[in-house]
Amino acid sequence: MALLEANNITIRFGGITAVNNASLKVEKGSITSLIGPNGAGKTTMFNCISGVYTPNEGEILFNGKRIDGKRCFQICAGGISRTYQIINLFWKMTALENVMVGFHPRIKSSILHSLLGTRKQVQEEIELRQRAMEYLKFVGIEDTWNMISKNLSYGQQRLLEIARGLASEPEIILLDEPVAGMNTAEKAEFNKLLRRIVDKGVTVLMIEHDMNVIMGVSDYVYVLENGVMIANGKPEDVQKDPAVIKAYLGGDE
Amino acid sequence: MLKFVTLFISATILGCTYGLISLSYSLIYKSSGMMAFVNPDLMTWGAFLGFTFYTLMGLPYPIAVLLTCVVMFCMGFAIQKGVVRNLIKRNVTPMYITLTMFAMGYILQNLSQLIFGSVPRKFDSIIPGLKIQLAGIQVQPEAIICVGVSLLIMALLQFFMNKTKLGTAMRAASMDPMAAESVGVDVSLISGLSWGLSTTVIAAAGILCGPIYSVSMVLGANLGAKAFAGAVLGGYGNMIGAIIGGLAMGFIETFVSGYISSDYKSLIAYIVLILFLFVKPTGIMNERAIQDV
Amino acid sequence: MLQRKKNYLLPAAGATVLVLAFPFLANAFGYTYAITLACYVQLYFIAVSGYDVLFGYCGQINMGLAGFYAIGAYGSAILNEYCNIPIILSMIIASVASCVVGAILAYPCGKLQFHFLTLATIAFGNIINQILSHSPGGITGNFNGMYTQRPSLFGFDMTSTTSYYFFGLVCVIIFAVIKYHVVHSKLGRAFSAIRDNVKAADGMGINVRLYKVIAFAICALFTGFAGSMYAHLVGFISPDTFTQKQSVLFLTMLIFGGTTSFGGSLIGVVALMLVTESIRTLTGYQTLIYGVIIILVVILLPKGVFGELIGLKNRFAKKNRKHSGEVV
Repeated sequence: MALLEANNITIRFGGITAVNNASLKVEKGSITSLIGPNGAGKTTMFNCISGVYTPNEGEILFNGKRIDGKRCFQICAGGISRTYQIINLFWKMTALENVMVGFHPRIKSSILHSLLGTRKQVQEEIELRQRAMEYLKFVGIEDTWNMISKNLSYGQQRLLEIARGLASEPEIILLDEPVAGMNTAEKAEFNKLLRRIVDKGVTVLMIEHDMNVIMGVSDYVYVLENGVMIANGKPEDVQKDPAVIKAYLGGDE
Repeated sequence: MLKFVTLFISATILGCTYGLISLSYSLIYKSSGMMAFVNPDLMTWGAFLGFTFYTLMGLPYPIAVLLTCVVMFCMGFAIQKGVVRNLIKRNVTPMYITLTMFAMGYILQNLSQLIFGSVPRKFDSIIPGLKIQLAGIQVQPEAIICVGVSLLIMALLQFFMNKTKLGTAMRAASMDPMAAESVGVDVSLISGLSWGLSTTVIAAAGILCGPIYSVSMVLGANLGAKAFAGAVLGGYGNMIGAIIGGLAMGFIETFVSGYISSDYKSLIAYIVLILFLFVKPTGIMNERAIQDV
Repeated sequence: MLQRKKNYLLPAAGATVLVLAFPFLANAFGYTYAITLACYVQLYFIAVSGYDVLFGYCGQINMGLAGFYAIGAYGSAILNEYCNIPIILSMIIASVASCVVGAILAYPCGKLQFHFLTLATIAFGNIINQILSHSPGGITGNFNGMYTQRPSLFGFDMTSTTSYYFFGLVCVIIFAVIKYHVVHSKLGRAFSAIRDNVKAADGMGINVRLYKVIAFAICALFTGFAGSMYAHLVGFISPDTFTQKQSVLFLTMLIFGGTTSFGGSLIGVVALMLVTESIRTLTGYQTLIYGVIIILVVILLPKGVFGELIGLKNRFAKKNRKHSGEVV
């Protein structure tokens, strides 16, 4: 059984069909990529999985259970974390605090404990700070821990989003164009990070434009064009697929 | 039956006044996406200015109305240019703009008290000696003027916004300022004009209802707070909705105080306001109200 | 935080002594009215701290604060007057009631966008004010208001303002501790997350609707308790106090001092209390002065006095940064 399964998803906005009968499967422990030209409906697909939209048709299974129709925060608590194409950090908080927000669904202390500030809760807060530092170290931006997230560089902000996403201890993390805006060195570093994420036991589903990133690290690739899945397979197979070549040459990439 | 007719007439007067106030809120919401918490006190100023021109200076009533409108138009324009635009430029949070509006309202209210005193003032009769009978009830000519002119203003405003070039530009500027700018609309000027227009409308409401209710420094504050209910009921930002909502509030309030108890007339207005916000924030006209998560 | 505490140990001790000795000093010098003012500062501080949780941390506006203030004040007064519940208990019940009302109000409010939230809370405040003025059976004394008594605790009578001052001090400490815990826990972080980026907060597993309700409830609890303190301090309450203007006053105190801090709330409360007192004789100009103050704050001190001070300190003494590892 695949970890995440989206079957025959259709999403319409008014009269426009953004995603049409698209399916994908993500195996546990893999890096799966979703590629396609701009406006193909990739982010819509992500929003659907993470609960921003409810699909008009089709079903989404996570660990064999239906999750479509659940709210964002429930899906995140259920083990699916994500980053955003347009960076969505908590702009007035420091990097460390941003990661600590990510822990939210995993915090054991109840609201009452928090109100009373019990010893257990205080102890947990201290642990959370240490673990947040570890996550920052994991993505390699630990020296920015005390900086306001707005003041970080673009690449650092992307990494911080990943650290925050990982903090909720997901089984799968959805990365929406994680290397957009990164320079070549950062991209190379990112490839290593992806490996480390998978080694940690977190499955990765990502949207990417950059063919080099995709082909190097992906285990499986889905190609979306105009809301329709036109191809899927191993990276090297997809690369040769005439429909993909046509879509990409005809597209903007 | 007699009571019903009497109530009906006063409901119409109140409703028209609310309609004008709601319209002025809608104009500002449409043009700059803000709630005009300063407007109620501008209404008081409209009434006091009208009182000054008409009763104190002895100008003819129509001239007094026109003069008031001109002065208040300039005032609204100045508020937008001087205060609101500067705040937007400083990129302050919407909270601060709202708070500034309250503050301006306080200042205007206090100034009106300092200038005109805290004793309610009465307008001189507009057409002395004239008595109008309507369905067996004697009606003040001022009431007829108030209702007639209010309806005229509403009709003119509809015509202006939908059929004239300037009105179209105003609507365009509010919908998409960037796009409007790119097709040659001076958005900055237009939003100033919208504020001016909005204050003119509310000042007109003040001077029209002034001769019926006495004018005091809390005239606007009292009516203005309740007119928000009308604006929400009709669909905040919708012009037709503002008129319908305002009229409806006038009727609800008058009939509640006529048949149940005048104690509950304000209460009912706020309950309508809060209920509509919770149950149907888009109002009768289904104006899109932006919602949070 | 601990390090910082060591550095400021001496001033802190001095401040404690001053706070404890204040009523005796005031009595010795004959400024007994100053004690009453200090009591006002205490209860306003509680209300403004609660508002800080809602507005400063969670970014939600509440212009109907006077409504909760009234529920606390009238609730406690009525429970004591008609049900003969001892005053401390009545204060607690009334503030819990205010808290519940806050939560109930917050649920439908949670989906409203900023401006409409403002309107809804204004309407709430006005509804409460109207109910006070036209209460069923005249239980609130309507426009005539109602008289209240000073509490007594374990036979310890608090009729003197000095003893009430110490009672207030205990309350301030309790509420400050609650606020500290709220702010330094997942609650505070969730609130800030909602304020900074609702969409991302939702995506990070925070139940936005629930946390907005909690923030409202906390604010209502604090304000309600402040209201009940007010009722038993002044001995007489009437609907005139619980108007829109009171809500705006709270908000002005908060933004004058600066949000998301204890110091800011304190500075704001003290400063506006001083202003209120000094313009007490200028009847006829009070609203005008308030209006001008608000506009000046908005233009000159967008971060509040405390916020600007912190900004200055950070700019001139960057070396202090290494101590500021605390999470706000």
